[in-house]
Amino acid sequence: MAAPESGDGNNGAARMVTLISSDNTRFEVEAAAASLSQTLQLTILDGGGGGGDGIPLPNVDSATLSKVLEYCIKHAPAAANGGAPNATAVDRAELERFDNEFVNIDQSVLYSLIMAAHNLEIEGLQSLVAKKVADMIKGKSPMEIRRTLGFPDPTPEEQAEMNAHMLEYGWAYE
Amino acid sequence: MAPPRSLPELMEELVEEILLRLPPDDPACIVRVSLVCKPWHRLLSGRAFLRRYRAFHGAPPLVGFLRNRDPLDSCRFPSFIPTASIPSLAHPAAAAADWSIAWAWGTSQRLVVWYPTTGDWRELPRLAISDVMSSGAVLCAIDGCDHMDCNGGPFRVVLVASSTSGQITWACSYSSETNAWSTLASLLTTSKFCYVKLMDRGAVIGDQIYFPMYKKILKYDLGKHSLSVIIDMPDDFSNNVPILMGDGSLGLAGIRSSSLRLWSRKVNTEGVEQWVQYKSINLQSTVPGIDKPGGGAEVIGFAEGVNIILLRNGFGTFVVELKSERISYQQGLVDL
Repeated sequence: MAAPESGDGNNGAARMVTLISSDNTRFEVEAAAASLSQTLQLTILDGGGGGGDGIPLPNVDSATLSKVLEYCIKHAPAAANGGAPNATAVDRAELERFDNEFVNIDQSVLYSLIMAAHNLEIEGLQSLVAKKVADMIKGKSPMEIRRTLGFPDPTPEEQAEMNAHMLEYGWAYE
Repeated sequence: MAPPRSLPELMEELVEEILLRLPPDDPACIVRVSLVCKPWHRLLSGRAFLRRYRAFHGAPPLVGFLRNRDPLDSCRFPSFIPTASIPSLAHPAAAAADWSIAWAWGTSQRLVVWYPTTGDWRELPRLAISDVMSSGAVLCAIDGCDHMDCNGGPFRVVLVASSTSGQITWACSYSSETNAWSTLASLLTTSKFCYVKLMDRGAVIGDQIYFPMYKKILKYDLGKHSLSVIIDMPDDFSNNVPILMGDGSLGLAGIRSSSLRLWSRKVNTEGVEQWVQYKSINLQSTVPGIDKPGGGAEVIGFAEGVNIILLRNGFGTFVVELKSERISYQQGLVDL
């Protein structure tokens, strides 16, 4: 079993790993970035993903995976600093700007991303997407939320029930 | 597995992650979201979610406060002043809470513990203390409780009262589990100004409850069932209010020449507890009339854990956020 090369303290090229999406696209990425995923971290620490092997990710398609890796590459340096206690305000502001732009995307991509973040256990990404969707929800009425998030039209019974509730909770609609 | 195209296709675990991040300072938002569909309603009203939500967001925001009325008013029940979008609270039929705003209400006749969020209430057995200066506090009775989910659980009530001469102060405690009051603990004082202030709230720190007196602080120890008076005060001003600091320790708030001053109780190098001023907020530009005769303000309360102090003067009631030092005026209180 190969001892993991940590990348730190190694002046040579950073260790790379290969990830394989559900549609068989291969992504070569620094181990430090891929290790933002708790699930991948274990495999990588065991020496997996190097050479010609690659780690198959049958639940993540290539479009989603490239997006996930974009996030991981950007966040890897801060994560390597253990939550970035040394990060400057500028670094933090830059990450925040990146995050805000990163989730400014189509809803279906957001859902694929949060699923992938959940499967791969990338806490920061899952939290970022969840916050984005929560922001899309707040300030809207129940019907607006249903429409925005792609719920099917309510059945007449559901509609009647919502109307009754809106009467009962009128204060929440002022 | 096909990727989800819409939120309803997401698994419940992820929906929960999303709803967990709804803003806590807008109760109306949670209500609207709970009406989106039945599964969301079930999720949002479940105890597990509520616990997680509380833990995720830390101390709950201030959504309003209870304001005691003039004791001479025929309706002596406190009024609820909302500071966020929230419905009016159901008063008990005769005349109220989350533990965070639980309140024991004393009249010479009856004592009621009210759960404002549900409108439930419970009348306590009568006490043989007649019309005196009194105040009270409601405490959770569960050992080691984190107060995330104890609303409606067993509780204690502490009542303190001073004779009108100010020479004797009593305390007794009630347990919801035995539905009975303890014996009276009493304290004789020779100093003037040792009155409990009528209906002012106390600061609860573990087993100790601190109540404002005119120029002192009364301390009741629930475990020892004993009373004492904190006599060393920062100065000789009256109307200081004991508060619970962000770190859970005892603090003191008072107004001095157009400023809100805050002290914390610290142990000095000789091991003696003393008051140390740690903040002063100038109110001159934000609280109207504070430097005019009769416009003087007083501290009337605080909100636990969220660093909020309430002030009042002849112009109205003001909410002071200690961290941001932002001060907002609460409408329509002058005539209450």
